[in-house]
Amino acid sequence: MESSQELSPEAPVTIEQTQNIITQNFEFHGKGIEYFRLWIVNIFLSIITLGIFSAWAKVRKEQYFYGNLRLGEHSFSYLADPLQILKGRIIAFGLLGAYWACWNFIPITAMGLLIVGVLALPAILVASSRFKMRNSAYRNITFQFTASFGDSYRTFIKPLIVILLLSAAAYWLLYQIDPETLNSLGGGDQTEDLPDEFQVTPEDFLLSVFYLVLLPFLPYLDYLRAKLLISHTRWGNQQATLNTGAGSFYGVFFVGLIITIAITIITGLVIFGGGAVFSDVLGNPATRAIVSVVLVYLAMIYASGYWRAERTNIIYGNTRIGDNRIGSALTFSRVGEIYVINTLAILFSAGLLIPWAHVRMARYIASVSSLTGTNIDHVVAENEHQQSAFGEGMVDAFDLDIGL
Amino acid sequence: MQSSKNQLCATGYYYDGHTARAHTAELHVNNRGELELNPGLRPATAFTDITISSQVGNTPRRIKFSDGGLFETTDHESVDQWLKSWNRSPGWTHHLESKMAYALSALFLVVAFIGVSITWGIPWSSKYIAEALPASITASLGDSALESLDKLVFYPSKLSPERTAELQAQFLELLPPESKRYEYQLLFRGGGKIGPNAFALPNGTIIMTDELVAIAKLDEELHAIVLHEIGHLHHRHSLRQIITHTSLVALTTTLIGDITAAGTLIAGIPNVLMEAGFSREMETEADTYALQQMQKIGLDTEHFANIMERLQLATFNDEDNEQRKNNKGNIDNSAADDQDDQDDKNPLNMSKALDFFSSHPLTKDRIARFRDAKSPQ
Repeated sequence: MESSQELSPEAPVTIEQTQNIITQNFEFHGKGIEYFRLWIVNIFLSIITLGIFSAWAKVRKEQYFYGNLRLGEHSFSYLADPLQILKGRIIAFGLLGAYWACWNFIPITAMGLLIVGVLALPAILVASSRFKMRNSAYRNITFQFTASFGDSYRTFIKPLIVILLLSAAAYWLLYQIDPETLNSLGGGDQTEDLPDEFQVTPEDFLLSVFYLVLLPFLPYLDYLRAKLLISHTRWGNQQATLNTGAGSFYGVFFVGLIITIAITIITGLVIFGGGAVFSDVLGNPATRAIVSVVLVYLAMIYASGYWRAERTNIIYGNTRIGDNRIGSALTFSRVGEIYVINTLAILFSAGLLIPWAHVRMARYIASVSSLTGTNIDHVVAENEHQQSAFGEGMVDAFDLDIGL
Repeated sequence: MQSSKNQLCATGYYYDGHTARAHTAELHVNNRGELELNPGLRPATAFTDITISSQVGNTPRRIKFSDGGLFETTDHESVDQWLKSWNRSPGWTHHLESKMAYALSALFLVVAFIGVSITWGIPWSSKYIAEALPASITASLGDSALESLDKLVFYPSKLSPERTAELQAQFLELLPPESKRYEYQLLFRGGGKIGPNAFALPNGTIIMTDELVAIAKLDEELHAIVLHEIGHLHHRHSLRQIITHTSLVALTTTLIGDITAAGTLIAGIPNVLMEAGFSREMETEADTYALQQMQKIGLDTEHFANIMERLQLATFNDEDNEQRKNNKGNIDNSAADDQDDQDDKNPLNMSKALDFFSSHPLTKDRIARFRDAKSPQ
């Protein structure tokens, strides 16, 4: 579920008006303490209404983040109807309940659930993007998301087939392996022959195999997703485009992987070295274990700042809307630092600093995002007729508020 | 300009909804109570043809005209004055959100709610739901739990078929007469890293490890343990644990507002049985049940005390490992070696959660309870 502040760079813009090329910076004007009041009051209201108010709470939260995001003195607006969100939540909870029931009571359908889940993703992506865009506005001109379910499935069908075929092949190979080897893969330390119900079977590796096959495709799928989302986004009569290829996504993926591994190793060495120096303090094995786990965890959070920063930069930094282009200059060190400090603040405040952390992130992202291009005053709203043509006449019932 | 409160004037931007052009404008109410813009970008509009958004923090107020035009202003004071003069409320949500006193009260109530939920609400409703769940659900729940446990934890039992049959026959004698709710069964498994232990699954299956059978000097001691497990089943403890865990996940995700994270947490339920153990209250309940049944069928309560004492020694005495290894071939005791069950000196001991007996009430007190109960006759 993407938090609202990720929205910032997804902004807009425009048309002809030759000459003057101007750059405008995004600004976020929210304040931690102000958002804290809104946040806690809405949690309280959600609780005493048994969760019903949570839809209104969500709208107010989004309105807070959109409304405080400004581009050249003008605020963004979030227009969603809380009742629509409530409906989406009821459906989502129903699905979650069904998933829970299936998982617990009919474990044999894990494979089926996986397939259904994967097959539903492209549709959910479209439904939630449509909802989000239709309910986002700037200068009283709404955004639109014009992809149909068909567009989404056409985008993902080929890689999906390849992944499923490769998984099936890997799965078939597992069946060819001697059950004993399989058992040792499963971590069992027994060497003796075991009755069937104690044996690790290929079925137990189903998900692991799928994830392993999926892994090298992730940057490509991420690229397809970004391409689908951006190249079907419009603000008024301005069409957004993504001008980068899958290669840059792979670059970020692998550099991020190397950085994560390197940082984890360095942290490990520091812990090892520090353990020798401060053996008095860290002498207790339990204390040492906990300190190590926390440090490695923080190191990985810091490293994940690279992905967040560079991925955002390649997606939004290569996005144009009409004649304008978005600038996105997140840096690894700042995002990593914000991540680590936010995590620590949230942990040590037992969650009370969640609002502060959100505002802090939103403020940073806005401060390094910009829009460069011509005057956008002449952007024209698109009328209802044009809009429904884009959406292939989908009705509201298909709009879902589910983040991906 | 302030000749009457209706003359209040707010400055902001006007957007006509056709183009993105922003017009700096002033909005005021004229003598007929209509809204007028200065400069005259649009005809005067009646109050009934506008909607005014409620205030959210200091974000601009949106005054939307029914023809699609939009006026945005941060002059919330003027807008609220108009609303009052039209007998409309400016919105109570922002009122609550704008005062620190309300926010702190809300915080206090939310914390109180979480506290009450965890200590009282969730356990109580779990009990209620556990009682109400139909047998078909509890049966499949237990079956899938057993399936996972067999693969992840247990080894096949090495007891002879005769010994198994003997103990199972004795087990039937121990079942309470009103035991229609479950299909009770007693199964034996090699405990592996878990060592001597017994479990009650939601479908009425009681699992006893070979190591536990080995540690018992008399079958009566095993009967005492079985009665304790039947006590867990009688009170539907494992079911209640599962429901409690699920409710906690639901509670946290609702509060933090992230539905997608819930799916992954919920998938781990079979582990709960192993890792969470039972609460002290539940152990006491099961002990009470075992105690009453033992007295009822004339089983010496001393047996429970004896085997508990031996289990306690086995779980944290190194010397005892030798004895167990002799008793039962290839038992891996590494996880159970340095358990410190008696006093909670070291709360950070992470392997502790693995030990089923660790969450039991102080074993010393439990043993004493069964010893004291001996006297009545």
